[in-house]
Amino acid sequence: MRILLYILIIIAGALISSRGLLNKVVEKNLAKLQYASLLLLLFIMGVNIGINDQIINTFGKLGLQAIVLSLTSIVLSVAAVKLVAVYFKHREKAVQQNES
Amino acid sequence: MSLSIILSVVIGILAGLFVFPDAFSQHIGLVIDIGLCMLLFFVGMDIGRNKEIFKQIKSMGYKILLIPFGVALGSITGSVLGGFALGLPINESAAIGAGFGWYTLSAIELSKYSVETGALAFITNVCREVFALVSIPYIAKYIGKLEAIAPAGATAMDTSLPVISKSTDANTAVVSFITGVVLSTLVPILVPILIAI
Repeated sequence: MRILLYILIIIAGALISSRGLLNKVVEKNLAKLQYASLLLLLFIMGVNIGINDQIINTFGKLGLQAIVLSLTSIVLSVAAVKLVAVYFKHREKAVQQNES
Repeated sequence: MSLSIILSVVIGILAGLFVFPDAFSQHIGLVIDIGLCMLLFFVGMDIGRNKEIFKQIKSMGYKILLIPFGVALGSITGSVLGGFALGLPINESAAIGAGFGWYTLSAIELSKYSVETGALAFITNVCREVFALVSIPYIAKYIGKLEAIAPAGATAMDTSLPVISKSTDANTAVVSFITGVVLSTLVPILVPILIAI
């Protein structure tokens, strides 16, 4: 259900800006507004982690293991997507060469 | 820009630890949901301004699914390798890695297996989300835009999406959303399968 809500919100934003319905003043300052709200959201997400006693208690006990597991996951997933990205670039080049 | 992202998360964590009263935690979920919806609306506006986007996504076709599968495979292999170094059983470390950053669901699934594993899944995936938020801008700048989606895992469709959108472009934001949806669907399927190995 949540996915549907997100899709609806993104589509609403896309329709408003693609139809040019956006107020000029808002449009000019959109990037700044977006950035300020992003930092605010990240701050609150941080608060949500810091305020949660369960997170802090478990981190004390299992923190080292958690850091190792999350970092190895991230590093290998970035490496895997790197391979996919290289494959995409290769394919793009092949298509361009075929066209020319 | 990347530094202010790191600082916002870190100051937030410290403020949660030392400043905000515990009572605030009852309302914080709602505040995050509202903020998230607002930012997703902005992401939508960025997408709407880019007219070429659907042509580009269409040209990638089904191959776009290689990205979530790469993230899934890399995450699980990575946590198995990390778990091997820590002396954890393969089924536990693989299932924890298959949480893809979705800490609530993976922790609930795994606490049925053991409380300790559930707790480790929880904190590992919380760490993954924090590391994702702070590393995405750097990965986008120094490694590549598509690669910047990888740390986010399942959160590529919600909490990490605004950071990805800000650090890359509207095209990558759409790929990111799709990646997050696929990975979020895989979590409740893969975690029980892997822990049963």
